[in-house]
Amino acid sequence: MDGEHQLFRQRRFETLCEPCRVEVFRFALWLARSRPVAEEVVQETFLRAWRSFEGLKDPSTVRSWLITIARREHARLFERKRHLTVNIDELTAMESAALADEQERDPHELSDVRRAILELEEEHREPLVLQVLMGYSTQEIAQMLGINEGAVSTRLYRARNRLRARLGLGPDESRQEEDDGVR
Amino acid sequence: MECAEFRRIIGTDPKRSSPDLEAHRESCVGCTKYLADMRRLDELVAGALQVAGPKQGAALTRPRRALRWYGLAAGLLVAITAGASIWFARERDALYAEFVMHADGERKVMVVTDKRVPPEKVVSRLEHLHTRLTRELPLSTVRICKIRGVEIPHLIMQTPGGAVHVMVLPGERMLTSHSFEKLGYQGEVMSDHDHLIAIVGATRAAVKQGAALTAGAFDWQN
Repeated sequence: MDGEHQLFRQRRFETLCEPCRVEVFRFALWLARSRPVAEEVVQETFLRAWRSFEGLKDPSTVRSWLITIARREHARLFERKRHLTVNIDELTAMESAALADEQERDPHELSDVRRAILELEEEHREPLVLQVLMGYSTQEIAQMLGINEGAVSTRLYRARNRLRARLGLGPDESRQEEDDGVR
Repeated sequence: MECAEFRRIIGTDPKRSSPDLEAHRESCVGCTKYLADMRRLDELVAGALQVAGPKQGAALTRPRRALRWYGLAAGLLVAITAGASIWFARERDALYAEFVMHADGERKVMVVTDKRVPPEKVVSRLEHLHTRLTRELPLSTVRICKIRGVEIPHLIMQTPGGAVHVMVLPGERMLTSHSFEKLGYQGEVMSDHDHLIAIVGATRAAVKQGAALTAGAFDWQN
């Protein structure tokens, strides 16, 4: 690969991928529930992305392409660091300190919501983050997670009902369905 | 529409709207409250998910705890040491990533070959960066590339264990040498006078041989 081609590739990569870095980090953080692990996931994701950059055929899909790589990297790191335990109290406090515009919000309420999100099971937390934080449709989430749309809807419904109950806004209505064997 | 169906749709996506949903909402107080709860919940979740992005070298912030003074002093020392270690580790890791990304972009020249760049050509290329070699190295490629916005020598060197990338970053130092592994590449970064030498290759043996060959081989003239 000559220098000019390399420079062009690098500039194209920076133009397309770098603007997604913060979003990929936020996704990784809520998935991994650890800032250092999320930072590692992001770095590995961008390295993998750089290596297989030619595989990105449609530039408009760059964000979901990076998220898909981040999911794989997270799974790989998790496998390697499965001994890591997550301290929800510490993590909630840390993220409260790292929040961008905390002063405009009620810190106790935010802390409670964050804790409730962190306590969700990963299969519920992940689609919720993809929908609420990143604005993906159930169809797009289904493609990313490799499951059908019905399963995504069920997970989102359960995620919101679990949060609703944990935050004292109302009962978890999805429990009844689960007890009835609805998947 | 039944309440269960309404709640299932809204629980999946509180922003969803349709004439059927609207008609049911107007006729059911319980589902009106459910919709309001879910929309409020989504606002809270959206706000809570907005955390600050990654910061280069940001130290971990720990929650406050009541400590005795001696405990505080000891804790502070540990925190500074840990924070500095984390900061340096992250900085180093980011640098390794840059070396590997650059090397991977030019992986096609990392081949074993008998071809050697003539010494006078090496001299003329490196002169541009005000550096020279203190001894002859088995180089098959000599390039000037950019890392961190700085023009650096990027060489492909033939070692008994295979070809390796050699990248020299002036004006940077590390206390000790560090080995790393990324994207399937092996690497070593070592401090040599006032510059860093990074060796990236396919095997640990080739990298070690590359490090031994290049130690003290560069002389920066400014």
